[in-house]
Amino acid sequence: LRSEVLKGHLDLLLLAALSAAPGHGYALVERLRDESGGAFDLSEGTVYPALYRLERAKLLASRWSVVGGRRRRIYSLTRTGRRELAERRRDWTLFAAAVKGVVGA
Amino acid sequence: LTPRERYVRELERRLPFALGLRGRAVAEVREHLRDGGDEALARFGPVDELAAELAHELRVAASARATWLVPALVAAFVFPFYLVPENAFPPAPWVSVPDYLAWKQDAALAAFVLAVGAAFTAAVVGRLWPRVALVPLALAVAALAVAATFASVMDVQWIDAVPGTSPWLVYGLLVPARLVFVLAAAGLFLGAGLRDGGHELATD
Repeated sequence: LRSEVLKGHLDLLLLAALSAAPGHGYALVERLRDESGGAFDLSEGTVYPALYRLERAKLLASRWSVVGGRRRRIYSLTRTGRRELAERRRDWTLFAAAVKGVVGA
Repeated sequence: LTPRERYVRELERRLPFALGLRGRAVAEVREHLRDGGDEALARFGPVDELAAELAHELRVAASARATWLVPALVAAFVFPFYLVPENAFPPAPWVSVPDYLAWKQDAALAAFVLAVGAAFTAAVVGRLWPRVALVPLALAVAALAVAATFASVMDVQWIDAVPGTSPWLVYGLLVPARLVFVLAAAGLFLGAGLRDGGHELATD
Protein backbone atom coordinates (compact mmCIF):
# COMPACT_ATOMS: atom_id res chain seq x y z
CA LEU A 1 0.00 0.00 0.00
CA ARG A 2 1.15 3.54 -0.68
CA SER A 3 2.62 5.19 2.37
CA GLU A 4 0.29 8.22 2.12
CA VAL A 5 -2.73 5.88 2.29
CA LEU A 6 -1.30 4.27 5.40
CA LYS A 7 -0.47 7.59 7.04
CA GLY A 8 -4.08 8.70 6.66
CA HIS A 9 -5.17 5.78 8.82
CA LEU A 10 -2.16 5.55 11.08
CA ASP A 11 -3.89 6.59 14.30
CA LEU A 12 -6.74 4.13 13.79
CA LEU A 13 -4.30 1.32 13.00
CA LEU A 14 -2.19 1.97 16.09
CA LEU A 15 -5.21 2.25 18.38
CA ALA A 16 -6.67 -0.95 16.94
CA ALA A 17 -3.36 -2.81 17.26
CA LEU A 18 -3.17 -1.85 20.93
CA SER A 19 -6.80 -2.73 21.65
CA ALA A 20 -5.97 -6.44 21.75
CA ALA A 21 -3.04 -6.11 24.15
CA PRO A 22 -0.52 -3.50 25.32
CA GLY A 23 2.82 -3.58 23.54
CA HIS A 24 6.10 -1.82 22.85
CA GLY A 25 7.06 -0.07 19.64
CA TYR A 26 8.81 -2.97 17.97
CA ALA A 27 6.02 -5.40 18.82
CA LEU A 28 3.46 -2.96 17.41
CA VAL A 29 5.23 -2.69 14.07
CA GLU A 30 5.44 -6.48 13.91
CA ARG A 31 1.81 -6.90 14.96
CA LEU A 32 0.58 -4.53 12.25
CA ARG A 33 2.69 -6.27 9.62
CA ASP A 34 1.56 -9.76 10.66
CA GLU A 35 -2.12 -8.98 11.07
CA SER A 36 -2.29 -7.24 7.69
CA GLY A 37 -0.51 -10.08 5.92
CA GLY A 38 2.45 -7.78 5.24
CA ALA A 39 0.37 -5.00 3.66
CA PHE A 40 0.87 -2.54 6.52
CA ASP A 41 4.62 -2.27 6.56
CA LEU A 42 4.93 0.91 8.61
CA SER A 43 8.33 2.46 9.02
CA GLU A 44 9.58 2.90 12.56
CA GLY A 45 10.26 6.56 11.83
CA THR A 46 6.53 7.03 11.34
CA VAL A 47 5.32 4.95 14.27
CA TYR A 48 7.19 6.59 17.17
CA PRO A 49 6.17 10.21 16.50
CA ALA A 50 2.59 8.96 16.12
CA LEU A 51 2.74 7.07 19.43
CA TYR A 52 4.04 10.20 21.17
CA ARG A 53 1.28 12.29 19.60
CA LEU A 54 -1.43 9.83 20.67
CA GLU A 55 -0.02 9.72 24.18
CA ARG A 56 -0.04 13.52 24.35
CA ALA A 57 -3.70 13.42 23.28
CA LYS A 58 -4.26 11.05 26.23
CA LEU A 59 -5.47 8.27 23.93
CA LEU A 60 -2.48 6.14 24.97
CA ALA A 61 -0.56 5.69 28.19
CA SER A 62 2.93 4.29 28.51
CA ARG A 63 5.23 2.99 31.22
CA TRP A 64 8.62 1.32 31.49
CA SER A 65 8.52 -2.39 32.12
CA VAL A 66 11.22 -5.05 32.31
CA VAL A 67 10.42 -7.96 29.99
CA GLY A 68 12.90 -10.81 29.72
CA GLY A 69 15.59 -8.70 31.36
CA ARG A 70 15.07 -5.88 28.85
CA ARG A 71 13.63 -2.49 29.70
CA ARG A 72 10.64 -1.75 27.45
CA ARG A 73 8.29 1.17 27.05
CA ILE A 74 4.87 -0.45 26.98
CA TYR A 75 1.94 1.39 25.39
CA SER A 76 -1.69 0.74 26.23
CA LEU A 77 -5.05 2.29 25.41
CA THR A 78 -6.57 4.68 27.91
CA ARG A 79 -10.32 4.83 28.52
CA THR A 80 -10.44 7.89 26.24
CA GLY A 81 -8.46 5.92 23.68
CA ARG A 82 -11.00 3.08 23.74
CA ARG A 83 -13.84 5.53 23.19
CA GLU A 84 -11.93 7.19 20.36
CA LEU A 85 -11.20 3.82 18.77
CA ALA A 86 -14.89 2.85 18.90
CA GLU A 87 -15.83 6.12 17.15
CA ARG A 88 -13.13 5.76 14.53
CA ARG A 89 -14.12 2.15 13.86
CA ARG A 90 -17.71 3.26 13.28
CA ASP A 91 -16.56 6.04 10.96
CA TRP A 92 -14.26 3.66 9.12
CA THR A 93 -17.01 1.09 8.58
CA LEU A 94 -19.31 3.75 7.12
CA PHE A 95 -16.51 5.16 4.98
CA ALA A 96 -15.38 1.77 3.68
CA ALA A 97 -18.94 0.77 2.80
CA ALA A 98 -19.48 4.07 0.99
CA VAL A 99 -16.22 3.79 -0.97
CA LYS A 100 -17.04 0.21 -1.89
CA GLY A 101 -20.46 1.34 -3.11
CA VAL A 102 -18.91 3.97 -5.37
CA VAL A 103 -15.75 2.22 -6.50
CA GLY A 104 -17.12 -1.31 -6.52
CA ALA A 105 -15.58 -4.47 -5.11
CA LEU B 1 30.71 2.13 17.23
CA THR B 2 28.20 -0.01 15.38
CA PRO B 3 25.99 1.73 12.76
CA ARG B 4 23.02 1.25 15.08
CA GLU B 5 24.73 2.90 18.05
CA ARG B 6 25.99 5.68 15.78
CA TYR B 7 22.39 6.27 14.66
CA VAL B 8 21.17 6.42 18.25
CA ARG B 9 23.90 8.86 19.30
CA GLU B 10 23.25 11.05 16.28
CA LEU B 11 19.56 11.07 17.18
CA GLU B 12 20.38 12.00 20.77
CA ARG B 13 22.57 14.88 19.57
CA ARG B 14 19.73 16.29 17.49
CA LEU B 15 16.91 16.01 20.02
CA PRO B 16 16.15 18.70 22.63
CA PHE B 17 16.56 17.82 26.31
CA ALA B 18 12.83 18.38 26.81
CA LEU B 19 12.82 17.92 30.60
CA GLY B 20 14.28 14.43 30.35
CA LEU B 21 11.95 13.18 27.64
CA ARG B 22 14.89 12.91 25.24
CA GLY B 23 16.33 10.09 27.35
CA ARG B 24 13.13 8.13 27.02
CA ALA B 25 12.97 8.53 23.25
CA VAL B 26 16.60 7.56 22.80
CA ALA B 27 16.22 4.51 25.06
CA GLU B 28 13.17 3.36 23.10
CA VAL B 29 14.94 3.65 19.76
CA ARG B 30 18.01 1.86 21.13
CA GLU B 31 15.90 -1.05 22.41
CA HIS B 32 13.98 -1.20 19.15
CA LEU B 33 17.22 -1.44 17.17
CA ARG B 34 18.46 -4.21 19.45
CA ASP B 35 15.32 -6.16 18.53
CA GLY B 36 15.15 -5.37 14.87
CA GLY B 37 18.83 -5.18 13.94
CA ASP B 38 20.03 -3.67 10.68
CA GLU B 39 16.65 -4.16 9.01
CA ALA B 40 15.00 -1.94 11.62
CA LEU B 41 17.81 0.59 11.21
CA ALA B 42 17.02 0.95 7.53
CA ARG B 43 13.31 1.29 8.28
CA PHE B 44 13.84 4.12 10.77
CA GLY B 45 14.87 6.33 7.86
CA PRO B 46 17.23 9.33 7.84
CA VAL B 47 18.13 10.39 11.37
CA ASP B 48 17.45 14.08 10.71
CA GLU B 49 13.86 13.33 9.59
CA LEU B 50 13.15 11.19 12.64
CA ALA B 51 14.78 13.76 14.91
CA ALA B 52 12.70 16.59 13.43
CA GLU B 53 9.42 14.74 14.00
CA LEU B 54 10.34 13.49 17.46
CA ALA B 55 11.76 16.86 18.51
CA HIS B 56 8.45 18.53 17.85
CA GLU B 57 6.56 15.96 19.91
CA LEU B 58 9.10 16.11 22.74
CA ARG B 59 8.98 19.90 22.91
CA VAL B 60 5.19 19.95 23.09
CA ALA B 61 5.16 17.22 25.74
CA ALA B 62 7.83 19.02 27.78
CA SER B 63 5.91 22.28 27.55
CA ALA B 64 2.76 20.55 28.75
CA ARG B 65 4.72 19.15 31.69
CA ALA B 66 6.19 22.56 32.54
CA THR B 67 2.76 24.19 32.50
CA TRP B 68 1.77 22.27 35.62
CA LEU B 69 5.17 21.96 37.32
CA VAL B 70 5.93 25.71 37.28
CA PRO B 71 2.49 26.68 38.66
CA ALA B 72 3.00 24.07 41.40
CA LEU B 73 6.33 25.70 42.27
CA VAL B 74 4.77 29.16 42.28
CA ALA B 75 2.06 27.93 44.64
CA ALA B 76 4.63 26.32 46.97
CA PHE B 77 6.66 29.55 46.93
CA VAL B 78 4.12 30.99 49.38
CA PHE B 79 5.98 29.14 52.17
CA PRO B 80 9.40 30.88 51.95
CA PHE B 81 7.76 34.05 50.64
CA TYR B 82 5.09 34.64 53.27
CA LEU B 83 4.14 31.82 55.63
CA VAL B 84 7.57 31.15 57.18
CA PRO B 85 8.60 34.82 57.75
CA GLU B 86 5.12 35.71 58.97
CA ASN B 87 5.22 33.01 61.64
CA ALA B 88 8.94 33.00 62.49
CA PHE B 89 9.86 36.67 62.60
CA PRO B 90 9.38 38.60 65.87
CA PRO B 91 6.59 41.19 65.96
CA ALA B 92 7.54 44.57 64.46
CA PRO B 93 8.00 47.42 66.98
CA TRP B 94 6.18 50.00 64.85
CA VAL B 95 2.57 50.77 63.99
CA SER B 96 3.12 51.29 60.28
CA VAL B 97 5.97 49.79 58.22
CA PRO B 98 8.76 52.32 57.43
CA ASP B 99 8.77 53.58 53.85
CA TYR B 100 12.12 52.02 52.94
CA LEU B 101 10.66 48.59 53.77
CA ALA B 102 7.05 49.20 52.74
CA TRP B 103 7.71 49.79 49.04
CA LYS B 104 9.80 46.64 48.82
CA GLN B 105 7.06 44.69 50.56
CA ASP B 106 4.49 46.08 48.11
CA ALA B 107 6.71 45.37 45.11
CA ALA B 108 7.34 41.80 46.27
CA LEU B 109 3.63 41.21 46.84
CA ALA B 110 2.67 42.69 43.46
CA ALA B 111 5.27 40.54 41.70
CA PHE B 112 4.06 37.42 43.49
CA VAL B 113 0.43 38.13 42.58
CA LEU B 114 1.56 38.60 38.97
CA ALA B 115 3.49 35.31 39.11
CA VAL B 116 0.40 33.47 40.43
CA GLY B 117 -1.82 34.98 37.73
CA ALA B 118 0.63 34.20 34.92
CA ALA B 119 1.21 30.66 36.21
CA PHE B 120 -2.53 30.02 36.41
CA THR B 121 -2.94 31.36 32.87
CA ALA B 122 -0.13 29.08 31.68
CA ALA B 123 -1.76 26.08 33.37
CA VAL B 124 -5.10 26.78 31.67
CA VAL B 125 -3.69 27.67 28.24
CA GLY B 126 -1.28 24.72 28.43
CA ARG B 127 -4.15 22.22 28.42
CA LEU B 128 -4.82 23.13 24.79
CA TRP B 129 -1.75 24.93 23.48
CA PRO B 130 1.34 23.91 25.47
CA ARG B 131 3.77 25.91 23.32
CA VAL B 132 1.69 29.10 23.55
CA ALA B 133 1.66 28.66 27.32
CA LEU B 134 5.42 29.28 27.34
CA VAL B 135 4.70 33.01 27.09
CA PRO B 136 2.76 33.35 30.38
CA LEU B 137 5.16 30.80 31.85
CA ALA B 138 8.10 33.10 31.09
CA LEU B 139 6.25 35.96 32.74
CA ALA B 140 5.54 33.80 35.80
CA VAL B 141 9.23 32.88 36.18
CA ALA B 142 10.37 36.49 35.77
CA ALA B 143 7.78 37.74 38.26
CA LEU B 144 8.80 35.02 40.72
CA ALA B 145 12.43 36.17 40.46
CA VAL B 146 11.39 39.77 41.15
CA ALA B 147 9.26 38.72 44.13
CA ALA B 148 12.13 36.65 45.54
CA THR B 149 14.60 39.50 45.11
CA PHE B 150 12.50 42.17 46.81
CA ALA B 151 11.39 39.82 49.59
CA SER B 152 15.00 38.79 50.28
CA VAL B 153 16.33 42.36 50.32
CA MET B 154 13.52 43.32 52.67
CA ASP B 155 14.23 40.40 55.00
CA VAL B 156 17.94 41.28 55.18
CA GLN B 157 17.01 44.83 56.19
CA TRP B 158 14.48 43.41 58.62
CA ILE B 159 17.36 41.92 60.65
CA ASP B 160 18.58 45.41 61.60
CA ALA B 161 15.14 46.99 61.75
CA VAL B 162 13.52 44.47 64.08
CA PRO B 163 15.57 43.21 67.06
CA GLY B 164 15.39 39.46 67.53
CA THR B 165 15.11 38.60 63.84
CA SER B 166 17.29 35.56 63.26
CA PRO B 167 20.04 36.14 60.64
CA TRP B 168 20.33 32.36 60.37
CA LEU B 169 16.68 32.13 59.35
CA VAL B 170 17.14 34.80 56.69
CA TYR B 171 20.56 33.86 55.30
CA GLY B 172 20.44 30.15 56.01
CA LEU B 173 16.88 29.33 55.03
CA LEU B 174 14.69 31.98 53.41
CA VAL B 175 17.10 33.50 50.88
CA PRO B 176 18.52 30.13 49.71
CA ALA B 177 15.05 28.57 49.58
CA ARG B 178 13.71 31.40 47.42
CA LEU B 179 16.75 31.12 45.17
CA VAL B 180 16.16 27.39 44.76
CA PHE B 181 12.52 28.00 43.82
CA VAL B 182 13.46 30.60 41.21
CA LEU B 183 16.25 28.47 39.74
CA ALA B 184 13.98 25.43 39.60
CA ALA B 185 11.22 27.38 37.84
CA ALA B 186 13.72 28.90 35.39
CA GLY B 187 15.25 25.48 34.76
CA LEU B 188 11.85 23.95 34.00
CA PHE B 189 11.00 26.79 31.64
CA LEU B 190 14.32 26.64 29.82
CA GLY B 191 14.32 22.84 29.73
CA ALA B 192 10.93 22.87 28.03
CA GLY B 193 11.45 25.85 25.78
CA LEU B 194 14.98 25.88 24.46
CA ARG B 195 16.23 24.11 21.38
CA ASP B 196 18.94 21.50 21.91
CA GLY B 197 22.07 23.05 23.33
CA GLY B 198 21.25 26.50 21.94
CA HIS B 199 19.83 29.68 23.30
CA GLU B 200 17.02 30.09 20.84
CA LEU B 201 13.54 29.70 22.25
CA ALA B 202 11.66 27.21 20.09
CA THR B 203 8.23 28.48 19.15
CA ASP B 204 6.96 25.65 16.97
